[in-house]
Amino acid sequence: MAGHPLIGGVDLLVLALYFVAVLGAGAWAARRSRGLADFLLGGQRFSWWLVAFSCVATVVGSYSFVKYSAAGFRYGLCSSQTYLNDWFWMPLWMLGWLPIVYWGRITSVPEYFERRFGGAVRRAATLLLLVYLLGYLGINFLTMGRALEALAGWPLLLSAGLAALVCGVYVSHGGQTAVIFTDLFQGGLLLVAGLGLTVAGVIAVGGPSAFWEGLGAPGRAALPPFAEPPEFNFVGIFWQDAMAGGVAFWFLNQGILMRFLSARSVRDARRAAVFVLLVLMPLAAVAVSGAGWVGRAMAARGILDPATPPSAVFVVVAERVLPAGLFGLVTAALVAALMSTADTLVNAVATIVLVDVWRPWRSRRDRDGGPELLVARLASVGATALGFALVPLFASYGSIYRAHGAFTAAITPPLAVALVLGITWRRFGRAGALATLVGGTAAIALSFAFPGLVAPFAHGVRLEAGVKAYTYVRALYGLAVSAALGIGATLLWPASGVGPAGVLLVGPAREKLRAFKGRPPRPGPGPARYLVAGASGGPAPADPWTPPDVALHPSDLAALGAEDGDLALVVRAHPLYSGWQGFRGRVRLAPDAPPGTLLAPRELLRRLGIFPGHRLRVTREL
Amino acid sequence: MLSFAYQEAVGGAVFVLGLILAWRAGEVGLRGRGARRLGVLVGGFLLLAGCQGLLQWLATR
Repeated sequence: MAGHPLIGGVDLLVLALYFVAVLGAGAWAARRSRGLADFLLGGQRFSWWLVAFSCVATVVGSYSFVKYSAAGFRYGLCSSQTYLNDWFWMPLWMLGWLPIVYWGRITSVPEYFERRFGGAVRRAATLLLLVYLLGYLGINFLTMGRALEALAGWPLLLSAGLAALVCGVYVSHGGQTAVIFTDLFQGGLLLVAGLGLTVAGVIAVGGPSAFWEGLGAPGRAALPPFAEPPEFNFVGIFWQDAMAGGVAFWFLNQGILMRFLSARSVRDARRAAVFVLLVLMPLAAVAVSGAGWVGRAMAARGILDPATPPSAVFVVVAERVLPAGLFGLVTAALVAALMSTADTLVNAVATIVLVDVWRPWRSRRDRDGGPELLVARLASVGATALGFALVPLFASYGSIYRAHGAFTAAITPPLAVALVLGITWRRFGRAGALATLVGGTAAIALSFAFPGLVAPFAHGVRLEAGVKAYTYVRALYGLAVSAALGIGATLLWPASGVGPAGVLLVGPAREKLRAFKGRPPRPGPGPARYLVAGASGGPAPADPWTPPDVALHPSDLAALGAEDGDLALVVRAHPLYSGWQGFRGRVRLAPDAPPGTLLAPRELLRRLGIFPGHRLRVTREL
Repeated sequence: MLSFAYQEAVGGAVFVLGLILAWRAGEVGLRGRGARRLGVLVGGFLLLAGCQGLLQWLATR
């Protein structure tokens, strides 16, 4: 239903400029995305800061501003709980999972399941992940539609359709490269706008002291009360978000996996993760919740009606404290948060369809990959259309927040348990993984019919009627049952043989590096050397994991401390372009190459925007 | 403070388990690169726990 528009005039112009800017950034990136390597992994050329800033735009989801402002208005600073509880998984993620996928050349999560457990487990994981991602996408489009419906007064389906169309256009053309560049822009915008709104709000309340007083003592706590109320309690959110959700987001979310795989090295990916979790996530927590905190303080000081609906507080506070134009900018940030999560999901679904559905299907018929880039683009369009088709279904739920919480708590625990046991326990094999995925999913489905099954895990959370029963703490039930099934099946039917599982388990880096490099690794990187770019006629590989050959004069090879066949990081030596103009190459001894020059495939250089004569920084790696 | 204690106990157990696995893999240690990684991980844990613990404590006053 269309409503009375809240924005118009200058604000609407700012919003229109935002859409033009996003499409422009997407189109600019799409011009540089010419192959499957770019579409899936962005050519693995991005520096840590680009990965980090684009990642934060994905972290701040479609509903973040509205949802967290609402929670901040009702409960205070504890609305930031979910933004600050992912660090617990970082030792296992940074030093365990990341080396497995990066050095193991694993493009998709189901691909890991196949290499570790076989085809049956891959199919089960693919199905669960597609359900998760498409459902998540549908909720994102619905939220986008709701936001634009409220702000611009457009009908829900028209609003959701417009957002889906813009998103689908640039992702299907530009893939991961377009997603990273548009998300970089959108991440910066939403942080600046959200933090700016918070600062303006604190000033409007009467300064930091008045703001702090206005929050009230309960509103200053970092965490909610333990088990009450059912719709916002610590223990349920902890198990749903920090434990099941933490693994789902960092280990299983295909979009996040691809974002970190697009980093130019494991070191860059780790630095990006540290920066995201210790700097950008706390800032994002303030940006998305700030309007709610300000609203709470305003209500306490009589500036705002305490009966203001929590879901409206973000818009109400923004309208109150910001002048025309800036309100449009904040609205654009809201839409940016929506778009930047949706584009990542569309790209993730396309990758899974290509890598885990299309390729195995072609392989079973002894055919080559066929027109893979076209398939990936069509899958992007299909994912966008399917996500949009789910909008009316999710619109029938009373609350998006509840529907989303119940949805993720139901889908993620079996996948999370299977993955964590898979990377840490050598004996955990096909039987254990299938029992975890299939049995765990069935047990969770059963708990919707019999909520009493969750009661022993509820930690005192009250039982509500219908689908709202144990919305969050169901995740603990799902984790416990999935783990019990997986461990039980493994004890009965342990994995036989350890063959290729070595590189697929948390363990010493040396074996993984050897598999990645194709030869024994060397201790530490070599010295950096500055060379000039030159074009050669060799081909640029289409496979995202195959480094292109680059030719060097023997004297330059020696100066790098490298031998023929070693890997090297090649980055344009220019402060403006070094973040994304680079690649990993396999150095080749070329006595005919001019000294001081690095010869790389012409097509690759053109794609990266590097021209002959540009100065390059070259370092031997691994 | 129950919520905070529960979070740090259960989350801390997951964190320490991850550190033990990383230690056994030789990825963290007490010297060189391993020590730097250990410092970043433990420092990050303490930073976040410290901020949340401080706010929880202030809220009880």
